[in-house]
Amino acid sequence: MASHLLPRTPAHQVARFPYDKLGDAELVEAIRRTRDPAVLGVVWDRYAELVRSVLRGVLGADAAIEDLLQDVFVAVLRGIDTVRDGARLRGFLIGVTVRLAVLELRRRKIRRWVTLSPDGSVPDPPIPPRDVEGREALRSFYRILDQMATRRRLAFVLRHVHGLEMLEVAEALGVSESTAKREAARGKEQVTRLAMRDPAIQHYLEIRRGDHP
Amino acid sequence: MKAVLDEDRVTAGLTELARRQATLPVDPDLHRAGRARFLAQALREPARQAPRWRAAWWAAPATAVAVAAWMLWPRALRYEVKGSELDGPYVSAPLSSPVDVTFSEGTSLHLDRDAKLRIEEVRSDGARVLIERGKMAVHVVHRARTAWVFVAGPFEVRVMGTRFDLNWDSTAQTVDLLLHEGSLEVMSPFGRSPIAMRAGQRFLGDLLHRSTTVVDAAERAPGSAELPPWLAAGQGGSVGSPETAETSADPATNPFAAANSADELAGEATGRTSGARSSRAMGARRASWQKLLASGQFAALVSDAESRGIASCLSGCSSIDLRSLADAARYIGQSELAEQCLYALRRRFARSDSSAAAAFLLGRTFEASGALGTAETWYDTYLAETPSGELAAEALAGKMRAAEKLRGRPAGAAIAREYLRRYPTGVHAGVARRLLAQ
Repeated sequence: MASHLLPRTPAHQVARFPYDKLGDAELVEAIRRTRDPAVLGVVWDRYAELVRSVLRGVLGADAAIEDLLQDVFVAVLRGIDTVRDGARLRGFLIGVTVRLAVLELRRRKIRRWVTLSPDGSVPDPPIPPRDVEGREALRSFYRILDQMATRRRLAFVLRHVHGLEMLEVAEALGVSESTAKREAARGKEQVTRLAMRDPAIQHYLEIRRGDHP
Repeated sequence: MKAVLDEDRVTAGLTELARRQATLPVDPDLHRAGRARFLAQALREPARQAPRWRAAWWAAPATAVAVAAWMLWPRALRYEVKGSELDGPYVSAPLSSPVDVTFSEGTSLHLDRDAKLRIEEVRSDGARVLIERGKMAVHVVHRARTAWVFVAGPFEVRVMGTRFDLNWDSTAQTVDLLLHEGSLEVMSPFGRSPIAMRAGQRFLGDLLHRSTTVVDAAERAPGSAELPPWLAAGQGGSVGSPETAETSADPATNPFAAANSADELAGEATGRTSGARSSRAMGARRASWQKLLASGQFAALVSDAESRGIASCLSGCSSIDLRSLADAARYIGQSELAEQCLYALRRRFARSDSSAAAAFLLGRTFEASGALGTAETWYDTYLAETPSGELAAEALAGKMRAAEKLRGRPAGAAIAREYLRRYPTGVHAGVARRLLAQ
């Protein structure tokens, strides 16, 4: 299979094996060997959506997400030689995403960017504006997440928002599976406790359940 | 009845909401642009372990791709602000003078005094601009690919190329959009479909009353810039004199009455302690009901009115409270209560703007319930009382629909002709033309 990846064969003699049909391990190998933009493009197409959704889930949707997405892929490219098992490219990407999200959270905490815009008001997440109740509930949700320890926040979001397996969560956080499990459970407990007291979240959930028209 | 939400439902509901937000589909253009940006960056990254000959092998195509990516990479618009300092993404006009914002492709925004906006995102094909307060005149230059979005509270205006005035009153939570040229779409929080507007039309949105209206700007009296009565009422604005004349119920027996008189005769010192107390109570209730209405807690509003006594409210509430109660009742399907409130508005505040609006709403209520004959009568009543009122176009359209269903196409066509004569570019002009063409 690896021979298909070598760029030495002239394209007009033997058709190149389409990169988008390659498995992750072969993609990683191809990147290491060639750094062919076509291979990198396949990685982008395959994983940009996942990485973006993890960033949005952890940080909330905002204008910085697209820049962070770039940072993740560039970091993956730089660290591609450290990937021991190419078949676990997805986990590697999530791990890099999480590490960059942690850095971003730290940066935002320092600069008070998490919840405050320059004039002190809470910025609106870019979700459809007609969903007023949902937008308010999301703002409250991220306010609750902002009160949590970073590792717990990440464990909760990866497990309960993105539905990752506990092993994947542990790998992304660089902790044992039992620690990841404990943090996700405590995160859930904390979110639930605070959410039960939040009127915007309560209102949203009541509407969703049909208590309101 | 509300039930206590259990913990699992709370977590499930919240995580589902967060997941929905996290996985919102991305604009394909944004995806492609991100891809090109990444590839361009990747080519600038040194291939650390690649042998030198391999780097040379790739140098030419890599450079070509990099150059192509650089050339194809869409560049965000630039803008400059005249008359004010730029504070991050915020542009604030001082109290003393207006401010102009000009974008590199020619689009311009003119902020009135004391207006404030936030330029949230600038792309190559447009920008997303949030008006935080005040009025601005917008002129968007039309190009092959143009995507401008202006946000006023929960209302979103999507523009290709046009000229319009946008006014967002953040206190009263009302938006007023007057379209001078071109066309645009308004997304309202109260509907799933965008509202298409053409030149010469005016869009009025009221978050507190959960209402949107499109009227022909031409039908307004020259120089008449005030909002329609229901919007004015939402701002705690003026009410007609008949309304104040009708507040003579005994405060001792009607919990609404003294408050009503004290409130609506604002400025008139009653000199009575009970009146002042009631005024405060009235103010508190009005704020509370408007808050409930704004937050969609219609059942809670109706429940509050019931606990105070519906009959007392019908005889003692202010026109604003009656209208709030009528709206809340309509939204939760209590059409009988809604009708009672609207009838009370008609009876107690006769000859006022509120009364005329109640006639229109009665038309709407009966049309929705299928009582088309009664609906037509109420639309007629509104048109007779205020032939050039803010809701006249809507009332005529309602009458057209009812007449067609009741008496067939010729009856509807006659009104359609009248509608087109008066509102050739009205929102129901298409329906009227189709009716005439059949």
